[in-house]
Amino acid sequence: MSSVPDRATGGHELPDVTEMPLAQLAMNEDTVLGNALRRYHLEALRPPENLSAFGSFAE
Amino acid sequence: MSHGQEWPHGNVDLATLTGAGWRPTALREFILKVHQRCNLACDYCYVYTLADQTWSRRPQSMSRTVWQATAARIAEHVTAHALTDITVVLHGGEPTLAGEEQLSELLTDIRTAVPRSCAVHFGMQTNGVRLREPMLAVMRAFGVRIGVSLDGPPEGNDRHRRYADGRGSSADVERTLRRLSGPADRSLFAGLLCTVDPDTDPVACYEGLIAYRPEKIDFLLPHANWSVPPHHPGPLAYGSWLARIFDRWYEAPVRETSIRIFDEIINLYLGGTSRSEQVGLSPSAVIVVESDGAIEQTDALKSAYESAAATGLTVQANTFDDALAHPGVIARQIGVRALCATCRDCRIRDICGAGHYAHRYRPGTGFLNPTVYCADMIHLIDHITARVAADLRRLEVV
Ligand code: SF4
Repeated sequence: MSSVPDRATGGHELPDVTEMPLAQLAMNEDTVLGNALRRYHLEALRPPENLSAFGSFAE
Repeated sequence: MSHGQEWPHGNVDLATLTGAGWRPTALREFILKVHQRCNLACDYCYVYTLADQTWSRRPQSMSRTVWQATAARIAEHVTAHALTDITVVLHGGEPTLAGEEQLSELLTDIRTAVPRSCAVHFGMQTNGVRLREPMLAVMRAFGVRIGVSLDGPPEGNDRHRRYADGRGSSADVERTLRRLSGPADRSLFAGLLCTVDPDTDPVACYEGLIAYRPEKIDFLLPHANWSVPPHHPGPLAYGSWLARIFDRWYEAPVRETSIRIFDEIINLYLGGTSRSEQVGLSPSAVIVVESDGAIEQTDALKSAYESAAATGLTVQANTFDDALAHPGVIARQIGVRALCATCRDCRIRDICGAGHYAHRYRPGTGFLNPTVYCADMIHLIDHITARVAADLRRLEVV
Protein backbone atom coordinates (compact mmCIF):
# COMPACT_ATOMS: atom_id res chain seq x y z
CA MET A 1 0.00 0.00 0.00
CA SER A 2 1.31 3.41 -0.84
CA SER A 3 0.90 6.32 1.47
CA VAL A 4 0.44 10.03 0.95
CA PRO A 5 2.46 12.65 2.78
CA ASP A 6 0.22 14.80 4.92
CA ARG A 7 1.23 18.40 5.41
CA ALA A 8 -1.61 18.94 7.85
CA THR A 9 -0.06 16.69 10.46
CA GLY A 10 3.39 18.08 9.99
CA GLY A 11 4.79 15.15 8.08
CA HIS A 12 3.01 12.08 9.49
CA GLU A 13 2.10 9.68 6.75
CA LEU A 14 -1.48 8.69 6.11
CA PRO A 15 -2.78 5.71 4.18
CA ASP A 16 -3.89 6.21 0.64
CA VAL A 17 -7.33 4.82 1.35
CA THR A 18 -8.28 4.77 -2.32
CA GLU A 19 -5.97 1.76 -2.57
CA MET A 20 -7.48 -0.18 0.32
CA PRO A 21 -9.62 -3.20 -0.44
CA LEU A 22 -13.27 -2.36 0.13
CA ALA A 23 -13.61 -5.27 2.55
CA GLN A 24 -11.02 -3.69 4.79
CA LEU A 25 -12.78 -0.35 4.68
CA ALA A 26 -16.14 -1.89 5.43
CA MET A 27 -14.66 -3.83 8.36
CA ASN A 28 -15.88 -1.32 10.89
CA GLU A 29 -18.40 0.63 8.94
CA ASP A 30 -20.81 0.82 11.87
CA THR A 31 -18.29 2.96 13.68
CA VAL A 32 -17.56 6.59 12.97
CA LEU A 33 -14.11 5.79 11.66
CA GLY A 34 -15.18 2.86 9.50
CA ASN A 35 -17.94 4.96 8.03
CA ALA A 36 -15.52 7.81 7.33
CA LEU A 37 -13.05 5.52 5.57
CA ARG A 38 -15.77 4.01 3.49
CA ARG A 39 -17.17 7.41 2.59
CA TYR A 40 -13.77 8.64 1.54
CA HIS A 41 -13.32 5.60 -0.65
CA LEU A 42 -16.76 5.86 -2.25
CA GLU A 43 -16.87 9.61 -2.66
CA ALA A 44 -13.51 10.12 -4.31
CA LEU A 45 -15.39 11.20 -7.43
CA ARG A 46 -17.80 13.66 -5.81
CA PRO A 47 -17.75 17.31 -6.89
CA PRO A 48 -15.17 19.19 -4.86
CA GLU A 49 -17.24 22.26 -4.01
CA ASN A 50 -18.68 23.10 -0.62
CA LEU A 51 -22.25 23.99 0.27
CA SER A 52 -23.88 25.95 3.04
CA ALA A 53 -25.00 24.36 6.29
CA PHE A 54 -28.53 24.37 4.86
CA GLY A 55 -27.48 22.88 1.55
CA SER A 56 -25.80 19.95 3.20
CA PHE A 57 -29.14 18.91 4.58
CA ALA A 58 -30.83 18.99 1.22
CA GLU A 59 -28.37 16.66 -0.53
CA MET B 1 -10.72 52.76 4.81
CA SER B 2 -14.16 52.07 3.33
CA HIS B 3 -15.44 48.53 3.10
CA GLY B 4 -15.19 48.83 -0.68
CA GLN B 5 -11.39 49.00 -0.38
CA GLU B 6 -11.04 46.11 2.02
CA TRP B 7 -9.99 42.66 0.80
CA PRO B 8 -11.24 41.09 -1.46
CA HIS B 9 -12.58 44.27 -3.13
CA GLY B 10 -10.04 45.67 -5.58
CA ASN B 11 -7.75 42.69 -4.95
CA VAL B 12 -9.20 39.70 -6.72
CA ASP B 13 -9.74 40.07 -10.40
CA LEU B 14 -11.44 37.61 -12.70
CA ALA B 15 -9.37 38.50 -15.79
CA THR B 16 -6.05 38.00 -13.96
CA LEU B 17 -7.19 34.72 -12.44
CA THR B 18 -8.59 33.28 -15.64
CA GLY B 19 -5.45 34.44 -17.48
CA ALA B 20 -3.52 32.25 -15.05
CA GLY B 21 -5.74 29.27 -15.85
CA TRP B 22 -8.25 29.49 -12.99
CA ARG B 23 -11.92 28.86 -13.77
CA PRO B 24 -14.98 29.72 -11.64
CA THR B 25 -17.05 26.89 -10.19
CA ALA B 26 -20.69 26.85 -11.30
CA LEU B 27 -23.24 27.57 -8.59
CA ARG B 28 -25.14 24.52 -7.42
CA GLU B 29 -26.93 25.69 -4.31
CA PHE B 30 -29.53 28.45 -4.50
CA ILE B 31 -30.83 29.78 -1.19
CA LEU B 32 -34.11 31.61 -1.64
CA LYS B 33 -35.28 34.11 0.98
CA VAL B 34 -38.93 33.31 0.53
CA HIS B 35 -39.96 35.21 3.66
CA GLN B 36 -37.85 37.87 5.34
CA ARG B 37 -39.54 38.01 8.74
CA CYS B 38 -39.36 35.49 11.55
CA ASN B 39 -41.68 34.38 14.32
CA LEU B 40 -38.73 34.00 16.69
CA ALA B 41 -36.26 36.62 17.89
CA CYS B 42 -33.11 34.58 18.64
CA ASP B 43 -30.50 36.72 20.33
CA TYR B 44 -27.63 35.63 18.03
CA CYS B 45 -29.49 35.79 14.72
CA TYR B 46 -27.18 37.24 12.08
CA VAL B 47 -30.09 38.51 10.07
CA TYR B 48 -31.89 40.53 12.68
CA THR B 49 -29.62 41.38 15.57
CA LEU B 50 -26.18 41.88 14.00
CA ALA B 51 -24.64 44.52 11.77
CA ASP B 52 -26.81 44.22 8.69
CA GLN B 53 -30.39 45.52 8.79
CA THR B 54 -31.08 45.50 5.02
CA TRP B 55 -33.83 42.89 5.56
CA SER B 56 -36.11 45.58 6.96
CA ARG B 57 -36.13 47.36 3.59
CA ARG B 58 -37.06 44.29 1.55
CA PRO B 59 -40.52 42.90 0.79
CA GLN B 60 -41.75 40.60 3.52
CA SER B 61 -42.47 37.78 1.10
CA MET B 62 -40.95 36.82 -2.26
CA SER B 63 -43.43 37.64 -5.03
CA ARG B 64 -44.32 35.35 -7.89
CA THR B 65 -42.58 37.72 -10.33
CA VAL B 66 -39.34 37.43 -8.35
CA TRP B 67 -39.39 33.65 -7.96
CA GLN B 68 -40.21 33.18 -11.63
CA ALA B 69 -37.27 35.41 -12.58
CA THR B 70 -35.14 33.37 -10.16
CA ALA B 71 -36.34 30.09 -11.67
CA ALA B 72 -35.48 31.33 -15.17
CA ARG B 73 -31.97 32.38 -14.03
CA ILE B 74 -31.40 29.03 -12.33
CA ALA B 75 -32.50 27.24 -15.52
CA GLU B 76 -30.18 29.43 -17.58
CA HIS B 77 -27.25 28.61 -15.27
CA VAL B 78 -28.04 24.88 -15.32
CA THR B 79 -28.07 24.91 -19.11
CA ALA B 80 -24.95 27.05 -19.49
CA HIS B 81 -22.93 24.75 -17.22
CA ALA B 82 -24.66 21.45 -18.12
CA LEU B 83 -25.43 20.83 -14.45
CA THR B 84 -27.01 17.50 -13.59
CA ASP B 85 -28.03 18.26 -10.03
CA ILE B 86 -28.65 21.35 -7.96
CA THR B 87 -30.09 22.21 -4.56
CA VAL B 88 -32.70 24.88 -3.91
CA VAL B 89 -33.17 25.80 -0.24
CA LEU B 90 -36.24 27.62 1.09
CA HIS B 91 -34.93 30.00 3.69
CA GLY B 92 -35.73 33.21 5.49
CA GLY B 93 -36.43 34.78 8.01
CA GLU B 94 -38.73 31.84 8.54
CA PRO B 95 -39.75 30.19 5.25
CA THR B 96 -42.93 28.55 6.58
CA LEU B 97 -44.37 32.06 7.08
CA ALA B 98 -44.64 32.30 3.29
CA GLY B 99 -47.57 29.86 3.51
CA GLU B 100 -48.14 26.52 1.83
CA GLU B 101 -49.91 27.85 -1.25
CA GLN B 102 -47.14 30.25 -2.13
CA LEU B 103 -44.41 27.66 -1.51
CA SER B 104 -46.25 25.05 -3.55
CA GLU B 105 -46.44 27.45 -6.51
CA LEU B 106 -42.81 28.45 -6.12
CA LEU B 107 -41.61 24.83 -6.02
CA THR B 108 -43.74 23.98 -9.05
CA ASP B 109 -42.38 26.93 -11.02
CA ILE B 110 -38.76 26.07 -10.25
CA ARG B 111 -39.15 22.40 -11.09
CA THR B 112 -40.93 23.33 -14.34
CA ALA B 113 -38.30 25.87 -15.38
CA VAL B 114 -35.21 23.71 -14.77
CA PRO B 115 -34.45 21.22 -17.57
CA ARG B 116 -35.51 17.65 -16.74
CA SER B 117 -31.92 16.52 -17.26
CA CYS B 118 -31.05 18.25 -13.97
CA ALA B 119 -32.18 16.82 -10.63
CA VAL B 120 -33.46 19.50 -8.25
CA HIS B 121 -33.04 18.67 -4.57
CA PHE B 122 -35.29 20.85 -2.47
CA GLY B 123 -34.51 21.74 1.13
CA MET B 124 -35.94 24.04 3.77
CA GLN B 125 -34.27 25.41 6.87
CA THR B 126 -36.89 26.20 9.51
CA ASN B 127 -37.11 27.04 13.19
CA GLY B 128 -39.78 24.32 13.36
CA VAL B 129 -42.19 26.19 15.60
CA ARG B 130 -45.13 26.08 13.18
CA LEU B 131 -44.45 23.23 10.80
CA ARG B 132 -47.83 21.47 10.57
CA GLU B 133 -50.23 20.16 7.98
CA PRO B 134 -50.96 21.31 5.30
CA MET B 135 -47.40 22.71 4.97
CA LEU B 136 -46.02 19.20 5.55
CA ALA B 137 -48.15 17.89 2.69
CA VAL B 138 -46.44 20.36 0.33
CA MET B 139 -43.03 19.27 1.62
CA ARG B 140 -43.95 15.63 0.99
CA ALA B 141 -45.26 16.36 -2.51
CA PHE B 142 -41.98 17.98 -3.58
CA GLY B 143 -39.63 15.83 -1.49
CA VAL B 144 -38.42 18.90 0.42
CA ARG B 145 -35.85 17.80 2.99
CA ILE B 146 -36.28 19.76 6.20
CA GLY B 147 -33.48 21.00 8.43
CA VAL B 148 -34.54 22.28 11.85
CA SER B 149 -32.59 24.68 14.04
CA LEU B 150 -32.40 23.51 17.65
CA ASP B 151 -29.76 24.31 20.28
CA GLY B 152 -30.01 21.13 22.35
CA PRO B 153 -32.20 20.50 25.40
CA PRO B 154 -34.82 23.12 26.44
CA GLU B 155 -32.67 24.97 28.98
CA GLY B 156 -29.94 25.58 26.38
CA ASN B 157 -32.25 26.18 23.43
CA ASP B 158 -34.54 28.58 25.28
CA ARG B 159 -31.63 30.71 26.45
CA HIS B 160 -31.27 32.00 22.89
CA ARG B 161 -34.09 30.75 20.67
CA ARG B 162 -37.03 32.73 22.01
CA TYR B 163 -40.19 34.45 20.87
CA ALA B 164 -40.18 38.25 20.90
CA ASP B 165 -42.09 38.15 24.22
CA GLY B 166 -39.30 36.13 25.82
CA ARG B 167 -40.98 32.70 25.79
CA GLY B 168 -38.72 29.80 24.84
CA SER B 169 -39.43 27.95 21.59
CA SER B 170 -38.42 24.41 22.55
CA ALA B 171 -41.91 23.06 23.40
CA ASP B 172 -43.22 24.03 19.96
CA VAL B 173 -40.13 22.72 18.14
CA GLU B 174 -40.35 19.47 20.06
CA ARG B 175 -43.86 18.86 18.72
CA THR B 176 -42.54 19.26 15.18
CA LEU B 177 -39.51 17.06 15.79
CA ARG B 178 -41.57 14.27 17.31
CA ARG B 179 -43.54 14.27 14.12
CA LEU B 180 -40.50 14.45 11.82
CA SER B 181 -38.75 11.64 13.64
CA GLY B 182 -41.86 9.42 13.45
CA PRO B 183 -42.41 6.87 10.70
CA ALA B 184 -44.72 8.93 8.46
CA ASP B 185 -42.46 11.93 7.90
CA ARG B 186 -39.04 10.56 8.69
CA SER B 187 -37.94 10.72 5.06
CA LEU B 188 -38.47 14.50 5.14
CA PHE B 189 -36.26 15.04 8.17
CA ALA B 190 -32.80 16.03 6.98
CA GLY B 191 -31.19 17.03 10.25
CA LEU B 192 -30.58 19.52 13.02
CA LEU B 193 -28.53 22.70 13.03
CA CYS B 194 -27.22 23.64 16.45
CA THR B 195 -25.32 26.81 17.34
CA VAL B 196 -22.47 26.18 19.78
CA ASP B 197 -22.99 27.63 23.25
CA PRO B 198 -20.18 26.85 25.70
CA ASP B 199 -22.58 27.59 28.58
CA THR B 200 -24.52 24.43 27.71
CA ASP B 201 -23.14 21.02 28.71
CA PRO B 202 -21.83 19.62 25.40
CA VAL B 203 -22.66 15.97 25.97
CA ALA B 204 -26.17 16.78 27.24
CA CYS B 205 -26.62 18.97 24.19
CA TYR B 206 -25.56 16.20 21.80
CA GLU B 207 -27.71 13.62 23.55
CA GLY B 208 -30.67 16.00 23.49
CA LEU B 209 -30.29 16.29 19.74
CA ILE B 210 -29.86 12.60 18.94
CA ALA B 211 -33.03 11.83 20.89
CA TYR B 212 -34.81 12.90 17.68
CA ARG B 213 -32.71 10.48 15.60
CA PRO B 214 -31.52 13.03 13.04
CA GLU B 215 -29.61 11.66 10.06
CA LYS B 216 -27.25 14.64 10.34
CA ILE B 217 -26.33 17.29 12.86
CA ASP B 218 -24.19 20.30 12.19
CA PHE B 219 -22.72 22.44 14.94
CA LEU B 220 -22.24 26.04 13.89
CA LEU B 221 -19.87 28.46 15.57
CA PRO B 222 -21.78 31.64 16.46
CA HIS B 223 -21.08 34.42 14.00
CA ALA B 224 -18.28 36.62 15.23
CA ASN B 225 -15.20 38.31 13.79
CA TRP B 226 -12.16 40.31 14.88
CA SER B 227 -14.22 43.45 15.56
CA VAL B 228 -17.12 41.60 17.22
CA PRO B 229 -15.33 38.73 19.02
CA PRO B 230 -17.04 35.56 20.22
CA HIS B 231 -19.20 36.10 23.25
CA HIS B 232 -17.57 33.48 25.48
CA PRO B 233 -14.30 34.66 26.99
CA GLY B 234 -12.94 31.28 28.19
CA PRO B 235 -9.76 30.00 26.53
CA LEU B 236 -10.61 27.48 23.80
CA ALA B 237 -14.21 27.51 25.04
CA TYR B 238 -15.59 26.61 21.61
CA GLY B 239 -12.90 24.17 20.51
CA SER B 240 -12.96 22.17 23.73
CA TRP B 241 -16.78 22.14 23.75
CA LEU B 242 -16.78 20.61 20.28
CA ALA B 243 -13.95 18.21 21.17
CA ARG B 244 -16.02 16.81 24.04
CA ILE B 245 -18.91 16.13 21.68
CA PHE B 246 -16.49 14.59 19.21
CA ASP B 247 -15.32 12.11 21.84
CA ARG B 248 -18.88 11.18 22.82
CA TRP B 249 -19.84 10.74 19.15
CA TYR B 250 -16.67 8.99 18.04
CA GLU B 251 -16.66 6.49 20.88
CA ALA B 252 -20.21 5.25 20.32
CA PRO B 253 -19.95 1.53 19.45
CA VAL B 254 -22.40 2.12 16.60
CA ARG B 255 -22.37 5.43 14.75
CA GLU B 256 -25.44 7.40 15.88
CA THR B 257 -25.57 10.14 13.30
CA SER B 258 -23.42 12.22 10.98
CA ILE B 259 -21.91 15.31 12.56
CA ARG B 260 -20.99 17.33 9.56
CA ILE B 261 -18.11 19.44 10.85
CA PHE B 262 -16.43 16.32 12.30
CA ASP B 263 -17.08 14.16 9.24
CA GLU B 264 -15.60 16.86 7.03
CA ILE B 265 -12.50 17.28 9.20
CA ILE B 266 -11.92 13.51 9.12
CA ASN B 267 -12.46 13.42 5.36
CA LEU B 268 -9.99 16.28 4.87
CA TYR B 269 -7.47 14.52 7.09
CA LEU B 270 -7.80 11.38 4.98
CA GLY B 271 -7.01 13.48 1.92
CA GLY B 272 -10.55 14.21 0.68
CA THR B 273 -12.33 17.50 0.12
CA SER B 274 -14.81 19.39 2.27
CA ARG B 275 -18.44 20.01 1.53
CA SER B 276 -18.77 22.37 4.48
CA GLU B 277 -18.13 26.09 4.38
CA GLN B 278 -16.81 25.83 7.95
CA VAL B 279 -13.62 23.94 7.03
CA GLY B 280 -11.35 23.16 4.10
CA LEU B 281 -10.49 24.97 0.91
CA SER B 282 -13.18 23.77 -1.51
CA PRO B 283 -14.76 26.41 -3.72
CA SER B 284 -18.15 27.61 -2.50
CA ALA B 285 -21.02 26.87 -4.88
CA VAL B 286 -23.65 28.79 -2.92
CA ILE B 287 -25.62 31.91 -3.80
CA VAL B 288 -28.55 33.68 -2.13
CA VAL B 289 -31.57 35.35 -3.71
CA GLU B 290 -33.33 37.86 -1.44
CA SER B 291 -37.10 38.43 -1.46
CA ASP B 292 -36.74 41.41 -3.82
CA GLY B 293 -34.56 39.48 -6.29
CA ALA B 294 -31.19 40.80 -5.10
CA ILE B 295 -28.39 38.27 -5.65
CA GLU B 296 -26.28 38.07 -2.51
CA GLN B 297 -23.45 36.10 -0.97
CA THR B 298 -24.16 33.89 2.02
CA ASP B 299 -26.05 35.48 4.87
CA ALA B 300 -23.35 34.87 7.42
CA LEU B 301 -21.42 37.81 5.95
CA LYS B 302 -24.14 40.08 7.26
CA SER B 303 -22.59 39.60 10.68
CA ALA B 304 -19.50 41.56 9.49
CA TYR B 305 -20.98 44.87 8.38
CA GLU B 306 -24.06 46.39 6.73
CA SER B 307 -24.36 45.14 3.14
CA ALA B 308 -21.30 42.84 3.37
CA ALA B 309 -23.27 40.16 1.50
CA ALA B 310 -24.43 42.49 -1.30
CA THR B 311 -23.28 42.07 -4.90
CA GLY B 312 -25.31 44.88 -6.52
CA LEU B 313 -26.82 42.27 -8.87
CA THR B 314 -30.43 41.12 -9.23
CA VAL B 315 -32.14 38.17 -10.87
CA GLN B 316 -34.21 40.64 -12.86
CA ALA B 317 -31.15 42.23 -14.52
CA ASN B 318 -28.26 39.78 -14.16
CA THR B 319 -27.27 36.18 -14.75
CA PHE B 320 -25.74 33.98 -12.09
CA ASP B 321 -22.61 34.00 -14.25
CA ASP B 322 -22.43 37.75 -13.49
CA ALA B 323 -22.31 36.79 -9.80
CA LEU B 324 -19.37 34.45 -10.50
CA ALA B 325 -17.36 37.54 -11.51
CA HIS B 326 -18.04 39.36 -8.22
CA PRO B 327 -14.90 39.68 -6.02
CA GLY B 328 -16.72 38.37 -2.94
CA VAL B 329 -17.92 35.26 -4.81
CA ILE B 330 -14.50 34.72 -6.41
CA ALA B 331 -12.82 34.99 -3.01
CA ARG B 332 -14.85 31.99 -1.83
CA GLN B 333 -13.73 29.90 -4.81
CA ILE B 334 -9.96 30.38 -5.04
CA GLY B 335 -8.89 28.21 -2.13
CA VAL B 336 -5.46 28.92 -0.76
CA ARG B 337 -5.18 32.13 -2.80
CA ALA B 338 -7.80 33.67 -0.48
CA LEU B 339 -5.74 33.07 2.65
CA CYS B 340 -3.59 35.51 4.62
CA ALA B 341 0.13 34.78 5.10
CA THR B 342 -0.44 33.29 8.58
CA CYS B 343 -2.96 30.77 7.27
CA ARG B 344 -0.91 29.93 4.17
CA ASP B 345 1.95 28.87 6.43
CA CYS B 346 -0.21 27.07 8.98
CA ARG B 347 0.42 23.34 9.44
CA ILE B 348 -3.33 22.57 9.44
CA ARG B 349 -4.12 24.96 6.61
CA ASP B 350 -5.66 22.37 4.30
CA ILE B 351 -8.04 21.14 6.98
CA CYS B 352 -8.97 24.41 8.65
CA GLY B 353 -8.89 26.53 5.50
CA ALA B 354 -8.96 29.67 7.73
CA GLY B 355 -12.35 28.57 9.05
CA HIS B 356 -15.63 30.19 8.11
CA TYR B 357 -15.09 33.10 5.73
CA ALA B 358 -17.40 35.41 7.71
CA HIS B 359 -15.38 34.86 10.87
CA ARG B 360 -12.20 36.23 9.25
CA TYR B 361 -13.39 39.82 9.00
CA ARG B 362 -11.29 42.61 10.51
CA PRO B 363 -11.79 46.30 9.69
CA GLY B 364 -8.97 47.39 7.37
CA THR B 365 -7.82 43.97 6.16
CA GLY B 366 -11.31 42.76 5.35
CA PHE B 367 -11.55 38.97 5.00
CA LEU B 368 -7.80 38.37 4.61
CA ASN B 369 -7.23 37.07 8.14
CA PRO B 370 -7.36 33.84 10.12
CA THR B 371 -10.76 33.05 11.57
CA VAL B 372 -11.38 34.69 14.92
CA TYR B 373 -11.82 31.07 16.15
CA CYS B 374 -8.25 30.19 15.07
CA ALA B 375 -7.13 28.84 18.46
CA ASP B 376 -10.36 26.83 18.79
CA MET B 377 -9.90 25.37 15.30
CA ILE B 378 -6.34 24.29 16.10
CA HIS B 379 -7.53 22.65 19.30
CA LEU B 380 -10.41 20.83 17.62
CA ILE B 381 -8.53 19.70 14.52
CA ASP B 382 -5.51 18.49 16.48
CA HIS B 383 -7.85 16.60 18.80
CA ILE B 384 -9.74 14.90 15.98
CA THR B 385 -6.74 14.08 13.82
CA ALA B 386 -4.77 12.68 16.77
CA ARG B 387 -7.61 10.29 17.60
CA VAL B 388 -8.13 9.22 14.01
CA ALA B 389 -4.39 8.76 13.40
CA ALA B 390 -4.08 6.61 16.53
CA ASP B 391 -6.95 4.39 15.38
CA LEU B 392 -5.61 4.06 11.86
CA ARG B 393 -2.35 2.87 13.35
CA ARG B 394 -4.22 0.45 15.61
CA LEU B 395 -6.15 -0.89 12.61
CA GLU B 396 -2.79 -1.35 10.94
CA VAL B 397 -3.77 0.61 7.89
CA VAL B 398 -0.73 2.81 8.34
S1 SF4 C 1 -7.29 30.13 11.00
FE1 SF4 C 1 -5.61 29.50 12.33
S2 SF4 C 1 -5.76 27.25 12.35
FE2 SF4 C 1 -6.94 27.96 10.60
S3 SF4 C 1 -5.52 27.91 8.84
FE3 SF4 C 1 -5.45 29.98 9.72
S4 SF4 C 1 -3.74 29.98 11.16
FE4 SF4 C 1 -4.29 27.83 10.73
